[in-house]
Amino acid sequence: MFGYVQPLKPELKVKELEAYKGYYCGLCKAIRDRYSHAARFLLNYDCAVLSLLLASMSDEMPKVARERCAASPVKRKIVVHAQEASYAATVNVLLGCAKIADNAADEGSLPAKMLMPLFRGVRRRAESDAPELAAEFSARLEALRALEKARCADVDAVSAEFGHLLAAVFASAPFGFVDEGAKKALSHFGYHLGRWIYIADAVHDIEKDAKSGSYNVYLLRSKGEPDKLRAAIREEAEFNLHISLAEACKAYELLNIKRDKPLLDNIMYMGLAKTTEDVLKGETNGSL
Amino acid sequence: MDPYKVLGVSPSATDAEIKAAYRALAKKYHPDRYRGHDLEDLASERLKEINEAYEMIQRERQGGGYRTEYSGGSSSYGGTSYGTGSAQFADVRRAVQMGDLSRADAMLDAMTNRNAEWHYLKGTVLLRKGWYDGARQHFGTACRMDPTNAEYANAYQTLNRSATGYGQTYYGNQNAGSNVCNICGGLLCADCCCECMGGDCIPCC
Repeated sequence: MFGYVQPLKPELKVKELEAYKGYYCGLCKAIRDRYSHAARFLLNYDCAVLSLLLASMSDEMPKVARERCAASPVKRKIVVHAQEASYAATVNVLLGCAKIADNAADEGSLPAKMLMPLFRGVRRRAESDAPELAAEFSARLEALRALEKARCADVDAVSAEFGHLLAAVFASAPFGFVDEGAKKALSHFGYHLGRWIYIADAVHDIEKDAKSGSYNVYLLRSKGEPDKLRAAIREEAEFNLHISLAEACKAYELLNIKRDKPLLDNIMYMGLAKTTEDVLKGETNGSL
Repeated sequence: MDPYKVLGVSPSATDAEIKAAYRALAKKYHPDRYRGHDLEDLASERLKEINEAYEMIQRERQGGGYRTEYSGGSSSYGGTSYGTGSAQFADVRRAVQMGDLSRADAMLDAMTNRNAEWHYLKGTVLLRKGWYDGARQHFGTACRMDPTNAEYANAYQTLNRSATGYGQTYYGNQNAGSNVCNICGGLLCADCCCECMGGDCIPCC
């Protein structure tokens, strides 16, 4: 479910790409500092965008440095140390642990089961860093699991759970610049982005889930040959993906973005659109 | 407030550039786009700011004679002029207007007479909740059951149009990006990438 929120790189200026990578590195370092070295394996691109979006709304300019790290021991890379990265790190750990727990329960995958105890400590720590958000996480994910178990065929109902989860992630960011108005816009933004991610993931995995027999909301709405599944749901999936993004953009346009706007615009208007197109065609690469 | 910053133009921009920027922004935050929306108040605040900025620039440059073209005050949305419909449906409409979606939904679920208006109202409740797939299905059913009703047809078309709007923005942007000038621009920017890190990327490099 990760990696859907990314810029369309060929359309970025080099400085914008560097800034994007810098936020990614900054998030990774924030995870290391607050949690553990091992927790960095949970790092995902979507949370880098969370860090970038929140930092772009702050009055304070983040610190930028060139640093080495374990993944790049020789060449110094640009790292953006945004204050907002620590919150994104907490969200990243919570999401990552939830994903592993989900895999372990869902597919009974052995690596996931082995990883669970490894991350128990960082998970507890993340839960104590953002107790309300953690409670929202478990409530929403439990509701989602119940719906999936009941083989719910209502796209709105299942995607809403993930939408509300992301709405909480964005709206409960503990920063001074998140006033009443920003909270409202961020909540709307998060809901629709979450809804989009859930639906995009379902469309992306449709053939895989058909083969393995896992739950997929679109499999319950589409009958037919495995190679025609995607075509059968294309029209309704396209509507649902596009309307979610159109609404997310409406909220995004009401945010008070103070810097890195071209990079964020690229993600919102091109990156997400490209992913939508690829997912509908079934042409995604393995990184998702 | 720096009016040029609000409109996203440089203080040296020509009148035509400013007008174009103003028009684009006014369109973006136009009340039509956010009518009946959760974020309506935020959008109208933003539009007010844009109008003020435009007025300020106009005043500064010409000393009067300016005119803003878009007003934040939207026309009567959710007024009282609803067509036929029973008292029960009127109650549901009132609940929707007051934003009490769960009450409206409960009232609808309790009804047994599921005619076109019922489907239309169910769609409206789902739409406000952010459940677009169901909203579209119910609007579609309402239109099929009563093809002559303009209110239902309008709701169905508006919803479909807001979804296609997103796709079009992207294709517009994508085609604009393929000429040699942009490639050169990109190369020039590579030179100064270090100074721009994390900085304000809006001014030209």
